[in-house]
This record gives sequence, structure tokens and C-alpha cells, in this order.
Amino acid sequence: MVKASASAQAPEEPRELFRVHPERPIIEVKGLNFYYGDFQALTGVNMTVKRNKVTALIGPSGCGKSTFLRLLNRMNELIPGTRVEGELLFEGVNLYDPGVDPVEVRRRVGMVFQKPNPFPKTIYNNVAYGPRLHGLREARQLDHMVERSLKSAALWDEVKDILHQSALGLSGGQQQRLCIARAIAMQPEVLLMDEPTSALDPSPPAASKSWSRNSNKAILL
Amino acid sequence: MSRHNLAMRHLRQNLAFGLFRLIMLAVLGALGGILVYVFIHGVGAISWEFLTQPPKNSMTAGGIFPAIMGTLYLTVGALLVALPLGVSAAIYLSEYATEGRALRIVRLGIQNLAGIPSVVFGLFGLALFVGYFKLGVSIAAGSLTLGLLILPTIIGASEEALRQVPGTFREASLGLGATRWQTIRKVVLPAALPGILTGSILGIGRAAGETAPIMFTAATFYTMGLPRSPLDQVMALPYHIYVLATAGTHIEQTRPLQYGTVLVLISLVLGLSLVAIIIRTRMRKTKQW
Ligand SMILES: Nc1ncnc2c1ncn2[C@@H]1O[C@H](COP(=O)(O)OP(=O)(O)OP(=O)(O)O)[C@@H](O)[C@H]1O
Ligand SMILES: [Mg+2]
Repeated sequence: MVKASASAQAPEEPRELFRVHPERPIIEVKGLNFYYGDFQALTGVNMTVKRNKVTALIGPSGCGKSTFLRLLNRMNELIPGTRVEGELLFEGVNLYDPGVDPVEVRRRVGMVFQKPNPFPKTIYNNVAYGPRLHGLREARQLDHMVERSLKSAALWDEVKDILHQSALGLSGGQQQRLCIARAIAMQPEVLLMDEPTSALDPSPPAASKSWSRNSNKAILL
Repeated sequence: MSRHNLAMRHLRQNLAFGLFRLIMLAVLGALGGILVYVFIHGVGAISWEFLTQPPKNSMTAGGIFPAIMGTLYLTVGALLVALPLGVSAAIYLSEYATEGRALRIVRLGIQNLAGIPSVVFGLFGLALFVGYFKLGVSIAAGSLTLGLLILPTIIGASEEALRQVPGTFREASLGLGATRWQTIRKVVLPAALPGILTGSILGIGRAAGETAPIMFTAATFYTMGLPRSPLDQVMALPYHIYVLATAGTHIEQTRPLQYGTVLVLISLVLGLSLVAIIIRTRMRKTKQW
């Protein structure tokens, strides 16, 4: 199942919680169990994800790839009745420790979902959504960020003239690349991608400093 | 299945559809009938003077301008009260509260609030706003009372609208590191706004048309000019109709004025609703928030 990830040199401002030790894997998973209510979806998962690498996860449909990826940025806890056991270390910190803020985790661990889910906003506003959450307001910086992210996702040439039209008018594959651009614009340290459509394979752009990819599509084929 | 059987089923289907069609026509006919009747009887009274002057000669002549403005004030006031309260309550109910017994009881309470006769709201407003809060019989007291009256409508429509927003939008936003509140404000609310406006339209109709809630809290049967502050009494269209039709000494003589006033009230409600519908359509079309 996955392809995964890689990532970052030091983030621009060192934050106390997730301190970067370049010699250590960015993600370590130890004895992970996960339950949807009574249904156990993951049993005893162990793995490490290296920095600055793309890691791929593969496996048959329904084996728990999406479930695992969603655990890495704490999306599963939005589903009532779910339960996690074991350790999921990101930069050495257990993501499920009580002191860890899921919002902070999701800003550092970006995700592209299995189904494209652009906002019903313009293309520009979709990509600018994350940076604006960070408090970026300055128009020129935003423009720059949007352009760079769309280029990284190999979508720029197709949409550069329609940035202010609704994202819902794009094709499915374009929407998926838009979601990738939207995630990249957050400059996450890890980027989880759940089966991005095969045709797109944005090469990690020189510009964006550190991001990693998780994908499983290639292998499912 | 035999051929005969099939024919029978077709016959039954046609009968059922025919019946539905008939019922629908009857409903439409009743609505159209009322509108046409009001129009025919009321249009004669409509004139520039009628729309822009206060009543004269103990209300047997002149216009209804103060009542039009009073109803506008009261309706807008009711929306100002009910929209923030109702939308906040709906956000809490659909985005924050966890499903369970407590929530079911709250919902049941809100639904029951919608079933309470409007005269009860009037008496409640009289006791609370006019009396206890010492607002007196005023636009403020009437708006608050009407606001409470339409609150369940607004909460219900808003909650439904919020529920219609796909969960994937919330997921996408949260996945980008937005907080719950940022997600609600930037993604969920804008997507729900058209539905919330639909609720407001229903609320407008109700707030503008009710007599009982404003009878004790806001309305007076005659003022020369316009109110100068929210603490003034106002004339209002539904109350004006009620007074002309029941309390005057010239009930028969003012019949045309009564129909004219009804026509103005209906037009006002339609006009206000139209504004909301136009805003909603614009929003749906552009989707560029
Ligand atoms: N919200 C949920 N509630 C209960 N069970 C779930 C839920 N989501 C997934 N599951 C179950 O967990 C298991 C793993 O699902 P998951 O979506 O992770 O599979 P997947 O490997 O991503 O499959 P695919 O390749 O088809 O996307 C499946 O058996 C699925 O039925
Ligand atoms: Mg999956």
C-alpha cells in the first residue's frame, strides 16, 4: 500500500513539540491497532517512513490503506466510536498523546483524500485556503503561493487563465490535482496521498522545500 | 401476471394520478382564487395617496403609509433578532452538539415552540418585553416577540441547510489544519447560506402577517407620522386590517380600504421574499465565496 513520504529539513521556525532530528525516521509506527466501533480495521501495524523519500503503500481494496493514512493526521477521530492503540510517532512525538493538538498535526501532515473534494469556491480560493488559515493576507505572496503550488501539482498551465472560476467546473483528475496543490500550499512536512490518479505524478518541485507522498494507486493497478 | 391484471393496475395508477392532479388543481385554484379576489377588490383603493399618506377622517380615507413602514420595521426587526439567534442555535445543534437524549429533547422543544399559537407569543411578549424589560408597547418589544415567533422556523431551516453541506467539505477543511470554527465560518456557513435564506423567507411571511403577537406589544391603530425611535409604537398592516374590519364604526364603508391594505400586505411579503430569493439565486450561481 503506500508510497510514502519524505520530507523535510528543518521547518522554518523550530517549534518545541515536534523537534527535527535528521538522523531519525520522520514517522515510526509501532504495534498499531485501530477499531471502527467493534470492527478492528488495523492489527499490529509496524513501519517507518524515511525523510525526503516517497513511500508507497499497496494492498487489496478494503485492507485498510485509507484508514492507516487517515490515522497519520488524526482524521479518523472525527468518526464517532473509533479507537487507536499503539504508538504513532511523528518526529518522535506520539501523535495521540493528550498534549498534541490535532489541528497542529494536520497543518504539518497534509492529506489528499481518496475522492477529490475541492471546495465550491474558485480555483484560486481553494489553493489559497490553507495559507490564509495561516494568516497570510498579502495578495502578492498569496498569488505567488497559488502559482507555485499549482505548478507543483502540474495543473498551472491548464488553469492559469481560469483561476477565478469555480473549481467544480474542473474534470475529476484536475480536481484531484487541485486538491494536491491545495495540500502543497500548506507546505506540510509530510504529504499523504490516497490513490492520486495515476496520470498525475508531480515531481517534487524544487521550490517546495519538503514534502512527502503517499500513494497506492500505481500498485493497485 | 395475466393481461387483465396488468390492465387493472394501469387503470388504478391512472385513477390515482388523476386524483392527485385534481387535488393539486384544487389547491392552486384556492390560492389563485384568493389572490384574484383580493386583487379585484383591493386594486381600486390603491393610489399614490394611499401608499404615501397617513389615514384621514377616522380612517375612512387617506392612506396607510405609517402601517407599511411599521410592518417593514417590525419584519426587519424580527429578522435581526431571529437570524443571529437562530443560525447560532442551528450551528450549535448541527456542528457541535453530540447526538443523544439531551439533543433530542432540545429539538422536540424547538419543534413544539413552532406549534404554539401566536397569541401566546403576544401575551408572553407583553409580560416579558413590554412589562418586565420596560420596553413599553414599541417596535423593539414587537420585533423581539415576532423574532421569538419565527425563531423555530429559522432554526429548523438553518439546521437542515447545515446538514445538507457534504461532510467531505468539512473533512477537506479540517484536513488542511483548520479549526472547527474556521471550517464552519469559511466553508460550512457559506455553503448553507442559500438554505438559511429560504428559512428567512418563510420567517418574513410569518412576521409580516401576524396580528396577535404585535397587538399587545407594538401596534397602535393610529399614528400621524412615523416612529422616531425603536421605543415608539407603530401602525402595522395586519393590525390595521383587523381594526378596520372589526372595530371601526364604518366597517362597511372602509371595505375597499381593507382589501387595498390586504393587497399591499401581500405585495410587501412577496417583495421582501423576492429580495431574499434574488440574493439566494445570485449566491447559487456564482458560488465564488
Ligand atoms: N467509517 C467506517 N466505519 C466502519 N468501517 C469502516 C469505515 N471506513 C472503513 N471501514 C472498514 O475498514 C476497512 C478498511 O477500509 P479502508 O477504507 O481503509 O480500505 P482501503 O485499503 O483504503 O481500500 P480501497 O483500496 O478500496 O480504498 C474496510 O473493511 C472498511 O469496510
Ligand atoms: Mg482507500
